[in-house]
Amino acid sequence: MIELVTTPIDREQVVRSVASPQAGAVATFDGVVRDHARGKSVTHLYYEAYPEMAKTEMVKIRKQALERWPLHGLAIVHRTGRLEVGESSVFIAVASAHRADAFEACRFVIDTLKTSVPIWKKEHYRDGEVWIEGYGA
Amino acid sequence: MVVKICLFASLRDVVGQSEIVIDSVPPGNTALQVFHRLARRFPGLRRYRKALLVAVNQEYSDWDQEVSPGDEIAFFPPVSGGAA
Repeated sequence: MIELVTTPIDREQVVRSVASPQAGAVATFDGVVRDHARGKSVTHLYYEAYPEMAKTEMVKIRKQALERWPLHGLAIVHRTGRLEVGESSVFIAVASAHRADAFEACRFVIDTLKTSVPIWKKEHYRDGEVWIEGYGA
Repeated sequence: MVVKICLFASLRDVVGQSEIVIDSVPPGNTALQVFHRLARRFPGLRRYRKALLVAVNQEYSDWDQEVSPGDEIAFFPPVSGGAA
């Protein structure tokens, strides 16, 4: 399951999508909107994607992970649009026979996603807003 | 030739629109030349150039890649990353 959605992410559904009788471990990563950043109070976030390319890049990451670890399932769902504090912006579920592969692959997926998938966020504060972009990274 | 340009995040804010069709691109132009052509119309883009990424037809690309008629060329800021 690779999806870009504009409505709240159904985490249970993502976990179910990777379930397999052969998988003894499911590792998940839940990226949640935080109420502070750079010393400021965040009121909400706005995520913008280059949708077709974002999906293509997520498919590539999934393929790389499946080649590198013996996995039974891998799902990535990213949400775009306006998100409130406490809501999930990205949810990843990885199933494998044993936990080490699921943990490692899950970490690989979120770390890679953060640098290669064209999705940007804008932080909104009480007194303004700013695009968070990776200049100088 | 005609190419479609897509802009995102702060670049879209600078230009005020997310898609622009340019119909006067000479054949053989590179992605960089297309950017400079766009930046002549929207000088506010210039200061972003060195940090930007470019994608041609939704694949990460080099600035010296030649573009073809009908290509979709996207200019965008690096993805935000975030603290691990």
